[in-house]
Amino acid sequence: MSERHDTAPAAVSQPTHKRRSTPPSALGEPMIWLTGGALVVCLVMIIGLVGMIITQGLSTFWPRAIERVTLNDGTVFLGVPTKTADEPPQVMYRTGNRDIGTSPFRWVNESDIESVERPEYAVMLERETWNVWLGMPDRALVYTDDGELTVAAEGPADVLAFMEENHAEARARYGQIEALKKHDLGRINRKIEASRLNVRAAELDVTREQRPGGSFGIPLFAVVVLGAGGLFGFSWWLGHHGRDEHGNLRLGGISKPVRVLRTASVFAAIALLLAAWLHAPWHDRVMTEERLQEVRAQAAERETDLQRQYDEILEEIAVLEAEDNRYRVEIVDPTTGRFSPARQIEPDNPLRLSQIVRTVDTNNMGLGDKISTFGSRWWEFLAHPPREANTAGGVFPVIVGTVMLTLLLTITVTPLGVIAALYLREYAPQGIVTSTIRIAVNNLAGVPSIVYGVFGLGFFCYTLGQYVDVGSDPSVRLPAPGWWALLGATILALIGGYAAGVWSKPIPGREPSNMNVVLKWVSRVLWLSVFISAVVLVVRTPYFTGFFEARAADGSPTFGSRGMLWAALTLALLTLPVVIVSTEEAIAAVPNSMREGSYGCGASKWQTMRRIVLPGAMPGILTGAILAMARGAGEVAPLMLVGAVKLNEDLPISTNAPFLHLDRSFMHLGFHIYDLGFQSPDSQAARPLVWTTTLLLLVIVVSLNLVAIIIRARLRARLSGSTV
Amino acid sequence: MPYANAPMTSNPADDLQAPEPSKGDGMPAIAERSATGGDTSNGAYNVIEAIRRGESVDPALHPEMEDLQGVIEIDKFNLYYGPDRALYDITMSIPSGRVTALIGPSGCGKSTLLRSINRMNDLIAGVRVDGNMSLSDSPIYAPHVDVISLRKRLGMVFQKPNPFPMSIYENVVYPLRIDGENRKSVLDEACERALRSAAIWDEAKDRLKQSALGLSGGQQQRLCIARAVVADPEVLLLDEPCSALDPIATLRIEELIQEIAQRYTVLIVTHNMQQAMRVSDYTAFMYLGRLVEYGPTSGIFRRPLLNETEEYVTGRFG
Ligand SMILES: Nc1ncnc2c1ncn2[C@@H]1O[C@H](COP(=O)(O)OP(=O)(O)O)[C@@H](O)[C@H]1O
Ligand SMILES: [Mg+2]
Repeated sequence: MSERHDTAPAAVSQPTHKRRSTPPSALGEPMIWLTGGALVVCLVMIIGLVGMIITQGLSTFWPRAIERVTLNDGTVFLGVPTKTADEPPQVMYRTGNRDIGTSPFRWVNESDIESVERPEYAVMLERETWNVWLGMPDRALVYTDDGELTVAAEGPADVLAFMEENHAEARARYGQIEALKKHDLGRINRKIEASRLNVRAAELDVTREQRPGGSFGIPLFAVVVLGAGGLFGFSWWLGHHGRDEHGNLRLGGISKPVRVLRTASVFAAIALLLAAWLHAPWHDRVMTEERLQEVRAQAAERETDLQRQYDEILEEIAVLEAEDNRYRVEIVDPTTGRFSPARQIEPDNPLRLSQIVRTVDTNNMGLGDKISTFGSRWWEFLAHPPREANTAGGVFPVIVGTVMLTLLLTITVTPLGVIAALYLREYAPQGIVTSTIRIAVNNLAGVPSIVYGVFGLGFFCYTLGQYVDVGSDPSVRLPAPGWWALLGATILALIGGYAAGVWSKPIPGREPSNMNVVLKWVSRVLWLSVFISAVVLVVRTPYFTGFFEARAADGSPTFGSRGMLWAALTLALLTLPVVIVSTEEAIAAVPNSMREGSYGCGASKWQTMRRIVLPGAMPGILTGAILAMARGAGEVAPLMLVGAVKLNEDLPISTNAPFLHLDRSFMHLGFHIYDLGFQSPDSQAARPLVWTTTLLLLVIVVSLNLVAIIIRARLRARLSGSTV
Repeated sequence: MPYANAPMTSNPADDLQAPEPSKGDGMPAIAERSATGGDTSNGAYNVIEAIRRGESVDPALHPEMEDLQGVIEIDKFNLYYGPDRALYDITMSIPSGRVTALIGPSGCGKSTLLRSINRMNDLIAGVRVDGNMSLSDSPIYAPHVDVISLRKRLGMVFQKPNPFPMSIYENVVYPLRIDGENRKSVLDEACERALRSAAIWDEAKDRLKQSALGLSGGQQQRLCIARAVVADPEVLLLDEPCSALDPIATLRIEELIQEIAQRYTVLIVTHNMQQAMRVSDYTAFMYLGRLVEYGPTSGIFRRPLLNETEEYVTGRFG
């Protein structure tokens, strides 16, 4: 101690007790403000977006006052103010009445306006066609039985009362007419179509050559089937061979030749069964000219019968329409003095009462009436199909299309992605190939979605769909003997690949020998060639002529064009990376101790995957599914190519067999928004619906996600042991 | 040989006459030990020295071990983790129906040896083995061995309790479920039997349908033991089953092991000398991947053949 005092300066050795000061930057105050500020900006933008969509979307259907505007030049019109502009001060009125040639929206300078009033009985009619009509109720008319048009009510109040009284009945009648046209006539039309297709198929069968290779007689068929059964039994016996008297697998296991023999006999049995099926005696029925005549006669008979039913329904409709035609109203436009016509080409015939969807006399409404109008408009929006080139009416088919597409895409992509991820993470040897695949999959998520649309159209619709419709391309079909030779070679390669794989496994715990390595490559090459020739076998099979040949020959492809199924598959492909990545992460996050515990109990790899790893990864898998669902539901660009259409009231799900019509094109909210906003003939009228539809899309996506999130939360809770 | 160049300067054996490496009689240790008699004070760490130099050393085998009937026979077994050798020519037999403890300092290969028996090391990439092992006379490392059925004949309990995130019931019957057993009566009966033999029936019987993760650590480990015994294995492999538990839970598990030992052969890895002494009939002392001394527990703890063993079991070395 004293020595150090001597050598060192006192100032150094004396403890100063002075703390090192903390600079302000160490406290990170500015960073906190900066990061907090950034978060606030993000939140404001998101809340602003959502808030705007909600307010705009909700306000669309609120009934607004109808104004009678007198301009300085003396013109008078009725309109609903919808928008204002500042420079110069202007108001946009919705004036409707498109069918008498006026523009349905009108900008007016405020300086031009002399006076504005709100007439008590001004009404806005929402009509089946030509959108809204604004006017003053003038007369209600009824055709008497002898075709005379008589006045039933006069003056606004009485006319409104008349309308109120008769409207529900008129609408019900009109609905009945529409239902008859759509359902009953539709059903008969479908039957006629089916009968016609039946004849068409028979005609195709007559021209077609005999089944390639002919068919087996009963004895040969029996021999082949029995042979297949025998091979199955043999493989079962071989498998049993490796067991002790208690049925437990012997520790020695099954020797390699026996394993290969088992597999080979199973493959051979499958090939025999396939041959038996393709050449079964009942495939022998050949359509002859005589049979065809019979089929034609039957069809003609059936069609006459159907036509009779058709005419009966037409008569029923005619009766209803005659009644429907009787009730008329005259609602007069103050600008031109004309009433709303029954049809544009019948300007002198007043509007049929049944054509009015809803009468809105806002100026005469209390709050309760307004709320009920608001509700009825929402109900129509949610539960009815669109009218008027989508600018009015509802979006029910659009909702159904969107929800179905999203569900379909999710239930396709999830198993696909999970299996792929499981293989990548648990089965594939981790090496350069696996890493490359992983990177490629990740990059797939960044490919512009329209590219998927192009691929979907080219591959799914036009290639795969074509195959489903009409089978293999006749120009590349192999002759039957060639096809069977290729099938035989493929099965041999399959057995060879399996055998090489079995022998490529080194003795447990040893380094693989050179022989093992060579065999491994042999097996890989064989598997690859099996894969290739399997594709060739399918593409060039002489046995498959499609499921919808007759319809395709008629020029209306079934699956060979845009439709729900292909759209769902395209979106599944698009969202596949999301599922694969999150599943892989979830699988990797399952603790190894769980796997070891399972293996320690004697579980096989697959049992461990199925019972431990996959359930453990389920929350992560669901996260992937949720992300896929959210991405898929919001996607529009590829859908325009593979199946979304502007209007299709034939829902992809219905009560007619086969109930699920995955071949149909469909409506989709994302595409619908685009269509409303940019493709509409009456875009001003459609614009408010853009907001409402956006709101709806948001609500649907959020609620689908919410369901998945709730399921995930419950799963998580179970996995962490807090509940069971 | 990772340990061949280990520094030895700080070793107390340094100033003793080192045995001639050229002797090569294979058992320098025993010769030395018998030469120096019961003298342990100047610690002749000759075997350890030899091991550290990378020489091959034959284990000191107590005479009682010689004609014991082994349910597991290990014969010149070596294991490599890639380039690193973890087990060196292990030869031993695990007596049937008894508890055998594997002791030794951390990293000496106890777990590796244990996991080699049910071929758990197959799951680790780059593991190579040579030498032989057999279970009831059937080879474990023969080419055609069905690993699944091998593991079904052995029960394993791990260092950290690893119940599956399922109900207690499903945890216990898991080994039966994977065998395709779905008859409720059979499962119920097996579940109760296993839980009773794992001494956790009374605590678990009212909450069989609740998550196993809600159990305490000690209960979870007993549940894992129940899972390991439910399918009646021939041998129970326990890898430091108490190291993650508190003393009371440890005590319960030890009692349990003694009880279970009446029905099964048990091989237990432990680094706790008292535990080895309390629960086992035979003890094997391992060091740096070698079997150093193997004998009846009483012999190992009271009359060890080697100084090293004595030093280790009394806590003066390791
Ligand atoms: N998975 C592994 N990969 C590489 N080396 C390992 C692995 N597991 C254990 N080892 C090594 O093997 C040796 C023995 O380990 P271990 O059997 O776990 O020891 P113990 O159980 O006796 O503590 C140690 O040197 C350890 O580093
Ligand atoms: Mg260990």
